[in-house]
Amino acid sequence: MSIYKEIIKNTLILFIITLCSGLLLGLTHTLTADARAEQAIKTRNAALQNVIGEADFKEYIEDEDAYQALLEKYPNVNAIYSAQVQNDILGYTFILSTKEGYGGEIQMAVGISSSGEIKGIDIIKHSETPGLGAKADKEPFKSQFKDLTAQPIIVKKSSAQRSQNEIDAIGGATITSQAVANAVNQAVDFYNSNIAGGQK
Amino acid sequence: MSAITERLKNGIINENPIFVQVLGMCPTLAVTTSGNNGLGMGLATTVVLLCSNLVISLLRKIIPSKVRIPAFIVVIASFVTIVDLLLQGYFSELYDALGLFIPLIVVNCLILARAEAYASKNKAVAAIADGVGMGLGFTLALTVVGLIRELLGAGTLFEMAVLPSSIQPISIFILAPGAFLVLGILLAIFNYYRAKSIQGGK
Repeated sequence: MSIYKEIIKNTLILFIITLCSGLLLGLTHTLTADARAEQAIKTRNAALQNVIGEADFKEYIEDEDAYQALLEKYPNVNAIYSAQVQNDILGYTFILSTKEGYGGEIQMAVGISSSGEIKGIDIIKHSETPGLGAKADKEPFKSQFKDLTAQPIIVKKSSAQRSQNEIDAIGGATITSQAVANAVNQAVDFYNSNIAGGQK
Repeated sequence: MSAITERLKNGIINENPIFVQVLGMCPTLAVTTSGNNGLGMGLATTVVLLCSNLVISLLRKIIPSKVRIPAFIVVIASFVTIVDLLLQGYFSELYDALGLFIPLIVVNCLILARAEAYASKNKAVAAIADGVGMGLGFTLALTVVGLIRELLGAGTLFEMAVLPSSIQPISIFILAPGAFLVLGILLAIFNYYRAKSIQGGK
């Protein structure tokens, strides 16, 4: 009889520990949900400002259906915000994500000014190899994109001389560099075919 | 008092988690591509280790020995997740720096090993001291491995350039094989001196 008693006792104790942990987790998750969402928006706005400058950000297209249809054609583009200062449109910011990275998804922001220049890129989230692909989030890689004209970008492996719209790959992380450039190119493509032509 | 300093010394030198116990090899090999990464991972682990040791020690009379391992894992994993959520919501700067490492800590065998070997058998204060000692020993080892790999592989220390750019860094050291090379050599050196001091003491 004692062995059954012991099994039941152990099971119950483990059950109670698990239950308490689960309840605590659920409680923390709920209590922090608002704060976490707020932080996420702050992080997003900070990322958007990094790539275009101080501005108010608004969804580029307000019609939800048209927006979704447009985004489907550009799988790397997750969201587009127009950056406004008072009534002037400073440019457009794109939230991009790509699965072509070495360590999974890379999320980034790209800003393209109304005059058709890439104002900057910023990596929001990535799981690239620390010390190699993770350098995509650091200088000098990021600033290479700054002030390029909005035309397709070509990644070169340590080229001696760079011509226009070519950038140097990160040493030892060509895949990451290419993934970032490809995503940026899709934003550029979107900009050229949907925004630049029919601009208000 | 002396028991606490004994625990600290034990964690940092006598039973250093990496150089002596060879625990937690996964983060050791994967994360130590730079001094900063090593330090960040080490400190995050120290905080979790301290708290999990405390909780396990307080629960040690309640947890039956036959189901202790699943109980420890549940406690540790919940704890790490709660810390993760809190950091995410309220300490975003800290989260940016350490967020990457926190999910890796959940399954770090160092934490389970300390729960099993020490915290589940000792009082809370001693368990905390053990957690801090082991954590600092882990941090020290990770930082040293990280700094050596960073210096050889990228020519920088804590992201500051120290080698002239004319010297080509040996980039294999920040790739995976470099971790094995550096760790193996450090293990050998550490244990050579340790064996010597034990012999000398006799």
